[in-house]
Amino acid sequence: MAVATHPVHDASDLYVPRPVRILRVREEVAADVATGTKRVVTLDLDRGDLDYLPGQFLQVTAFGAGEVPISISSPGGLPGALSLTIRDNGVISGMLVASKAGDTIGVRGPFGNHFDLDAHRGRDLLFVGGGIGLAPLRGVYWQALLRRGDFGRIVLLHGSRCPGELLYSWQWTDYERQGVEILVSADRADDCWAHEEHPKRCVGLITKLFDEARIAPGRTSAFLCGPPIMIENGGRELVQRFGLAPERVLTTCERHMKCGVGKCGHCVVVDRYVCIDGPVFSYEELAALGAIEPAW
Amino acid sequence: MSDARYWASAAALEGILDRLAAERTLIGPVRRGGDVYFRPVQRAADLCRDYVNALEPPKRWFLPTPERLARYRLPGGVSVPGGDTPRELVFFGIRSCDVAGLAQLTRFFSGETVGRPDVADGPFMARRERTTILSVVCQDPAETCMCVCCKGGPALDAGYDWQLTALTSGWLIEVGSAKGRELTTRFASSLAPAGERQLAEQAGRIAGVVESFHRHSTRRVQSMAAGRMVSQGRLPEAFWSALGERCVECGGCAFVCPTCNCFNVVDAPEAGSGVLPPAGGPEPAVPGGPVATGAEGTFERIRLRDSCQLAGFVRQYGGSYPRATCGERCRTRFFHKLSWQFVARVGTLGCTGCGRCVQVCLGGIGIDAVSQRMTDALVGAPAAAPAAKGA
Ligand SMILES: Cc1cc2nc3c(=O)[nH]c(=O)nc-3n(C[C@H](O)[C@H](O)[C@H](O)COP(=O)(O)OP(=O)(O)OC[C@H]3O[C@@H](n4cnc5c(N)ncnc54)[C@H](O)[C@@H]3O)c2cc1C
Ligand code: SF4
Ligand code: SF4
Ligand code: FES
Repeated sequence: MAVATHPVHDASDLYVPRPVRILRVREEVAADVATGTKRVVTLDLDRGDLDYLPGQFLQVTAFGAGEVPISISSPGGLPGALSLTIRDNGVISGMLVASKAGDTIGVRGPFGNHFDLDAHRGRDLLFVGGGIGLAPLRGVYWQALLRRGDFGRIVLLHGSRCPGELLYSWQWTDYERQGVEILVSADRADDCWAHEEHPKRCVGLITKLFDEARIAPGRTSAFLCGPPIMIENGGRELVQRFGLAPERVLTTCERHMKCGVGKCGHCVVVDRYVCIDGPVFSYEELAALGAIEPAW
Repeated sequence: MSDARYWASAAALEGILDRLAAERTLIGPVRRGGDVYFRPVQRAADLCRDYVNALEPPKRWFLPTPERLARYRLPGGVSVPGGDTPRELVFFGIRSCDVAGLAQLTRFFSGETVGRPDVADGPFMARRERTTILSVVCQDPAETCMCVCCKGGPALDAGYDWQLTALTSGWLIEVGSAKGRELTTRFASSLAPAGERQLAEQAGRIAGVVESFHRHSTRRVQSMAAGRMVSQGRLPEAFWSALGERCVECGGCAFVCPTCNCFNVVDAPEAGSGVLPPAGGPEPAVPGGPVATGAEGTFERIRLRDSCQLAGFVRQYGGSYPRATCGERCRTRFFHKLSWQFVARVGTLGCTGCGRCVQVCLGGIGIDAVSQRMTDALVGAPAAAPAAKGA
């Protein structure tokens, strides 16, 4: 897998976060104690000279608490802000989610490999994002839209636990106008969904949407991100039931990370360092790793 | 084998070490209580002579724990730690297994192992570059020593600046690097070219040590058979869970291992800064986990030794663990030490045979016992037999 941009300016800075200012904060999902829904925000950062490729991640510091890996959810190579979509998963992510426009956070990176769209030129692109897993895919389909003519159909499947947790709904109309087919699912409907028939909404697991997506296996490349169980089941269905080539099913592997540069050992899966050999792996590669370590 | 070989009398070597101690920091084996440690000494006479190896590997001098990686003041900016150049260190008396371990750490932290020289670890490399290694060949290995199984000794072809072998009279010196050549040039008046007789004595002594392993050490790392088992994932879950039941998760095996490199990174109020987590504020979910410490004060980013045997090492948010059981974590550890996949990546086994994990493991699952169990599993012997004795 190609090694992407080399971010490090000087070896002595390897672990030193660089301060960046938050330009805007958009609330994507409001916290809801009743449903156990965690707050999700998108932070737009003043990127400075930082450039990156879709699928890469940053090590993001909440000053005073520590650092966590967060995927970049905007397309690289463009002027404009860098976006991070972050869910309140715990202490550090919680502090990041609570930040306001004008605050300073720290970043290191970008790190990791990326989704290489060139390898899928001329093909249909199927994006499957479960919950916060849509965040790392957003930069990829956004990038694909910037070169819409290079690809066949672009289908976006997005599922979450409940309708209130679906991400980026404010952008859907715009995407549809650009020729993206969007289908969404929720494990359980809310009042609004329960009382309204909608052709593009489905109640159930995201994999239920596969049947609606009219997948042409020979010409489709799939990009899956979400909880491990979704990647496991979704990947298997796409390969076994729909006949996609396992090397055309691309996904990310999430592991706890402390350094991002292949040093601390936290992200090791079998013989790979997810932070530098991944986080993007094909289903084929993950299955091979799973032969030894089925825990992914 | 290095081509340049010299001889120095015992007095001449002591003179050289005293000169080095006067201008740099000389670190060598010293006895403290019943144990031997690598510590700075003022003069060669302070060095301990009768030791097999130090309790800890020399890695603490390259990866001190805790180590400050960055420092910041809130509200305000970030600064890199002091920027002070590390001291020039000279190690005398480090053993081949540790030289091999340090060589492995150097390839790893320089980024060479993973093919990424652009992400060299600055703090480690700065210390390594300012270190001179004068290693001493073991002639009286301990029962736990296994370097002969792991290409970790008793003598090496590379990795040192000088490799010394004690002869009946004086020392044979092999030069292994440009830094070593500088030393020979500088101390030329104290050295003589090694003669045939001295070279023959050294070769005979090393052969004798290898021979003595077979007589004295009952320990072995069964690297070939064990590597095959672990590489192909042929060991059943039950094999690993049985090991997991013996492990008490002390982390000792990784902390004493000369090749283990894993670390944790935390941001914390600077020691002595008086910044404490706000009263009634969030508690870490688990001991050592992150807490939000507030918006004012001086903080430091520190790294600490860590181990893949410990549950907290793989903990993800929400308290999920990709390797939830201790047995799965044992599998990861031994996979990293012995598998072909890692040998292909690193160039060597992840073990240099120092025997420390054998000495410290409270559960009797040092690498010798585990590789023996793997071999037994391959040939069908009862898996529990070797480690069960004395447990
Ligand atoms: C490549 C990658 C991309 C990601 N992208 C996104 C994204 O785009 N959006 C998003 O919302 N999330 C993303 N995540 C997940 C995100 O990193 C986690 O939500 C975040 O790490 C949670 O940290 P926390 O401190 O908030 O959680 P907590 O549960 O409070 O803490 C968990 C973390 O605390 C530390 N910790 C806890 N206990 C210990 C201990 N005993 N010793 C040492 N350390 C300890 C560890 O760092 C652990 O991961 C991504 C993760 C990865 C690996
Ligand atoms: S695995 Fe054990 S014997 Fe091998 S180098 Fe590490 S501590 Fe020494
Ligand atoms: S030294 Fe033994 S008991 Fe301690 S963590 Fe290592 S394997 Fe477990
Ligand atoms: S995050 Fe440290 S090795 Fe991958």
